[in-house]
Amino acid sequence: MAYWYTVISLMCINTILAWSVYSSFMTGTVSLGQAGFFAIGAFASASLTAIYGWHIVPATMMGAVAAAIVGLAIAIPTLRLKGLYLTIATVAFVEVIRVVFHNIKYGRDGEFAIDASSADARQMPWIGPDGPLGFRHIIYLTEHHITPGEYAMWLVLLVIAFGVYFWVLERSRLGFAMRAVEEDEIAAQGVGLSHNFLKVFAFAIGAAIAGVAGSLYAHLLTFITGDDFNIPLTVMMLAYVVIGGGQTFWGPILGALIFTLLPEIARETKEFRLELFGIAMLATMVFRQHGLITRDMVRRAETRIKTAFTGRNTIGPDEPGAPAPNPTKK
Amino acid sequence: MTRAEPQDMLSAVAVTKAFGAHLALDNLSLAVTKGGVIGLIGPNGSGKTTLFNAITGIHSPTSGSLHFAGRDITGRASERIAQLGIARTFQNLKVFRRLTVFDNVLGAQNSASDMTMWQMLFSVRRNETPRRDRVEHILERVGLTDRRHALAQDLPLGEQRRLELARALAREPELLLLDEPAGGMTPQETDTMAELIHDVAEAGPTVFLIEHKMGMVMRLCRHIVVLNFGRKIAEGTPKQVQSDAAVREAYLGSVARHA
Ligand SMILES: Nc1ncnc2c1ncn2[C@@H]1O[C@H](COP(=O)(O)OP(=O)(O)O)[C@@H](O)[C@H]1O
Ligand SMILES: [Mg+2]
Repeated sequence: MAYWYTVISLMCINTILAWSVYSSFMTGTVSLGQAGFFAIGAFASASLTAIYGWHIVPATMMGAVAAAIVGLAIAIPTLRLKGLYLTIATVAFVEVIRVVFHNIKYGRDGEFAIDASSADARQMPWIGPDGPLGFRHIIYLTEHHITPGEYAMWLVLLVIAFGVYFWVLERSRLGFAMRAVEEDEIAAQGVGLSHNFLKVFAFAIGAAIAGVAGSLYAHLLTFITGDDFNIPLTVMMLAYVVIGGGQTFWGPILGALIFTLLPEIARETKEFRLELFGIAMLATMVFRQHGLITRDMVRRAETRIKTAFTGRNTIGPDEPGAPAPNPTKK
Repeated sequence: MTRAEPQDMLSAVAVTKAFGAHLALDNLSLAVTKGGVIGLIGPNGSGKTTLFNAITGIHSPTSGSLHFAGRDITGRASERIAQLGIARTFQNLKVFRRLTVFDNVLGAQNSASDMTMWQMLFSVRRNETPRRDRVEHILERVGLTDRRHALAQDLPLGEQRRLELARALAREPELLLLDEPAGGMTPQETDTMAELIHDVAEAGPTVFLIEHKMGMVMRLCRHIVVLNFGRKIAEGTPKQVQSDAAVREAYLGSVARHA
């Protein structure tokens, strides 16, 4: 059972990561930097809980803030560049962060040996990142007697909270503004929207969300190294969005769920994880350019649910769920 | 005219725009006074769109200055200029393609830019009845009521042009720049568009109109500015412009070149 709790926790973390990509995706920015923000959130929050004894909630928030600040520092100079340059800059950023955490060492000696029977029983464990050996002994959950089941439940609640954020965002004027920037920056400026501001904002929020996921991941795994946060990981996060669908926040959930569950259910596939990704990406590009879940599907589903609840079609003439009079939709 | 007069709605003072060695606008000065429709004509490549791009801050001028309602807007960010009360349409259609017709207009409304981020985040669509009513009203004016749920990209060209106009109207601008609003339209569509522009100008904003369809321009405009090679070669009433030798030369020359 504990194993499945861990799988559920990982699904939640991957969903949050997929949304962190989706945040800037809404303004038309493709970020390949999320693994870097994920790493910053992981190391920052784990440092606070393990070295300084913070509570996990403020530590996670600080991880998010740290990731957002770094996100701003990257976004402000690079978002002025056109799409591809930003993407390249974000890839380079992931590599820099990986190398930094691969080599950094800080922290303190632990209070007692973790494993008294081991050869170096008298040696106290190092609490904090230890260069290529990584950051071990992030034992917050065990120390505070949080069971895997409880942790999974908290993570599900957090996913719901982020889901509500995106649900509100997509229906708000701010969400429209982001979509308008994605569609056409010049026309968006023409209606008084600052595309620079919106893109930087969406990117920083995405960085913060990845920072939260980093904290959740570090405390779940108890052991992280700089090498965990590599370029294949960052590509996978983007793939969740591309395959699941980048038009609504539902798509990234599906993408993250499929690719977390598949290797668990069909064990044979685990070995070919990256290859499967490649094939799935290609298939998406060829057969479903907008991903598995499109905005149209969500609209139709919303209409059906409303009709089911009220017993009649109460969709006003100006509701987005109402059927379009022209049937030529893609 | 070499300096901005305070009573002008819009004025350009010695505006030059260079693309490399090519001068798309060459020391151009002009003024648009308040009210009615003012025409901007000239052969293809004469710099009409470039002037609109300079006014709306898409390309800041290489030299010279632009003034709107007594303010210097030279080199200001495009969205700031839009917020001051200038709206435009684009010759090469820039509707928000994957948004619905309704959302294109709703999201463009003036208040959007005055809201803070929090207000924008919590301004959930269905609680905005007055705004939605205004959108309905605008869609009715441009004749797109039936198409409100269609995605902008699925509209035929004529309807996309009307959607561009609707989106600009949603801004409730003081100055409306229309870049070939009847481009590629059938004669009937062109007539409808001409009527619409007439009504729009009657109701509020000053309209600055680029158009190749001379019948429409002559009928609508109280004043016309003629460009050639980025320079103003004539201006005046439709009558004055039509009988101007330099204008005839520019148009005949361009016809001969294109033939
Ligand atoms: N972004 C640009 N880069 C380079 N040249 C441009 C650009 N925009 C316009 N031009 C050039 O400036 C001249 C004027 O173009 P334009 O203003 O579009 O003419 P019009 O709208 O009167 O047909 C043309 O020669 C065109 O090639
Ligand atoms: Mg033009």
